[in-house]
Amino acid sequence: MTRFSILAITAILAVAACTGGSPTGAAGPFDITFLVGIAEDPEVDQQAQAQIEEFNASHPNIKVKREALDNDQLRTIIQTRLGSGDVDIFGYDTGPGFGGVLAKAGLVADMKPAYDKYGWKTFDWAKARCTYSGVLSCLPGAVEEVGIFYNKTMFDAKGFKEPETLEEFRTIMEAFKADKIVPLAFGDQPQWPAGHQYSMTLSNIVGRAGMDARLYGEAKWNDADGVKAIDIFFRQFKEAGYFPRDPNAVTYEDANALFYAKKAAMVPTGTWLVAEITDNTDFEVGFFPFPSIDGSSISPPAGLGGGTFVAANSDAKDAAFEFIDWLISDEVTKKWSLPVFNVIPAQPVDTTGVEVSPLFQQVLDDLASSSGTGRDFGYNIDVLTPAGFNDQMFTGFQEVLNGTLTPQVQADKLQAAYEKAMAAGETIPKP
Amino acid sequence: MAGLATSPGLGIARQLRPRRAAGRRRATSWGLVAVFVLPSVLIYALFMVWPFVGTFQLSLQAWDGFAPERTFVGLDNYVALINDGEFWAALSHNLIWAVVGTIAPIAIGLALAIMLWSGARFRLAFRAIYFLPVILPIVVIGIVWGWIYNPLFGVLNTLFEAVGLDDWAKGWLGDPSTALYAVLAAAIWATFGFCVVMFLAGLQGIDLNLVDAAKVDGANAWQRARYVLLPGIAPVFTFVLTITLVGAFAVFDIVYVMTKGGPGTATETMAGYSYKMAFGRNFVGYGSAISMVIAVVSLILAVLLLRFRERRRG
Repeated sequence: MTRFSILAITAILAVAACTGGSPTGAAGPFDITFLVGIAEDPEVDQQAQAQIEEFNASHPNIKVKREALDNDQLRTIIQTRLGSGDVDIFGYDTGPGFGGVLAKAGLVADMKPAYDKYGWKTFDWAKARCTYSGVLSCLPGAVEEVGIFYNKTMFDAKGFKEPETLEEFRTIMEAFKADKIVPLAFGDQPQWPAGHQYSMTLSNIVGRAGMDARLYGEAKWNDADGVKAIDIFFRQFKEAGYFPRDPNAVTYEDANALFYAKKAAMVPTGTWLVAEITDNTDFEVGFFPFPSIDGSSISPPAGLGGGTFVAANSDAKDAAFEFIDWLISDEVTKKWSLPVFNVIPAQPVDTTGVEVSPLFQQVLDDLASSSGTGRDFGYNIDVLTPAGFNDQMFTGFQEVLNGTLTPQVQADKLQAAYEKAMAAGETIPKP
Repeated sequence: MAGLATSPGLGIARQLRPRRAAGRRRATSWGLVAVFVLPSVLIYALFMVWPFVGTFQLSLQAWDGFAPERTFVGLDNYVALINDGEFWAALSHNLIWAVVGTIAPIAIGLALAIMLWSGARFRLAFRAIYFLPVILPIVVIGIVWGWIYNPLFGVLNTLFEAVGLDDWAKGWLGDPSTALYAVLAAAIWATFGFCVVMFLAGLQGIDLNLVDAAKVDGANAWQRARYVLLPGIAPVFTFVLTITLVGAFAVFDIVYVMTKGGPGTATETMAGYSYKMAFGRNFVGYGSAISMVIAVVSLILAVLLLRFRERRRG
């Protein structure tokens, strides 16, 4: 090979590297793999696939392949899949133990350029959940609230209104118990539902400021309020017989099924279940936040259900951003997110002309001030706390339900787990 | 011929000829050995030795599973294990599993195999029925048994209530005093069919004349089983024992499907704890150290049982 040939080939390669390394300005077509947790309701999952097909049909240069996995499975394979470079976009939890770890490892792309380019109007509080070490690394997913869904027909028959105090709540539950109706369909076999119930009672007792103080290490999880929050739900309610028999052996789906089958009057869960509840019930369903505890505020846990990330090593980042922009556009929000999936994007939403179920409308009204300025919302703890703390929450609350652990000991263990995580730098930093 | 025979040079030549031929044969046979053995050795090295070494290497490191850099911590993960109460609790669950989960399927399997072997009707049909759970995926078994135990609609509680034993009805998988044994029962159901088929195969190799002779000598059923049948199936017995015992220390899937280690940590096994630490809490090094303990315990058990079998053979 002559010196000229070597120089020529090198020059061609150099030019190719300069122009071909990024899809910016390139015409495509781009194949994008979109990895997400599978929806609990198969019908909703099918609709999600239909939504992707609509995008593919309207964007001939980009082909999105949606791959839905069980959430537990997603956690175990995400590192390998990102490393292999065959994932472009993925949905994942935004907590420091989840998205934060990926960002720290440099596995996710900086999304600031996309925010700037497309002018996404995401709420600031939501953007903060996607920001790790100052880098904006994801687009916040749906805004969700944890509360209590109730059978309005049953409530009306007994002349009950949505309870505003714990005493009223207990009166209602006692009445249903007397009628052999499960008052509160709480199933904790998968362990994570307990974290939501704890979020409800603790958020009410200590309010948003108290939750912030705990998350930033300025207050303790095992103070009197922390113990009280555990005691009310996991000991007092259990001993009073408000749950199905042996809630530790009842799955989340079975608990929900009790509600759908009118064998339970209420089900404590999050607004992500609205679409499924609407599909599976033939009675009117209402929603209320956990009532005030001894005069406390009502601060229902609200926050992000997760976020959308783009892989750092994706060779189709711009196409991925374009797809995300389509997903959160007004048109798609009005056609899919609100009426079909019943999810609320973490940005100002125009609901004009959107027909939604009465239940979802109630949730929308309740979350109308979800920017966090209008109402004292609490937090759904498990998306903000580190894995070690969550592990103690999940296993420990089962033990409190069994009576093998006291609320005080569980609170002490939670505090110890949080201190350990703080020392390891695994907790969310104070803004 | 004698002259030739006494000639030292020719003698050496005659001695060398067969040696060379033997050498060629040896070379050929070594080549053949390599052709047949190398693929399996390579597969074994790739899928067993390499991951084993890799896991050991990880167990000496602190790594969250994501960060590009890993920190060498020596034996710190193993030292931490010694002081970890949850690890010892998981180990104790494995020990219970090893005792109950080994004895029960072997005892049931052996009893049923002897019954089938001694001329039961519909032997083939029964053998197929007993083996059926073995071919079912563990996930399916876990889900089905979860339904059986379900406190809301489970068959078991319905049966108890139907016969007036309402107090016995409970959430079997939600009660820490019963959860482990409830999962074990499902695992035993899934395993005993394998034992039946293995023992039956072993029994079919026993010389019936020995059994007849024992009968003539006045041996009762127990004595015939103890002194004729059991020695006859000793190799199969050791094999089944090894498989079930080693499996008891690595059990994960059925526990994960049925209880995820709960309630609390009442059914958590070493493998489940390893998974939780490595993938749930991002302590990959620590999870690997637990995996190494499982591997070493299994290895020791397997070697001991094989040596025991060899000694008995000798």
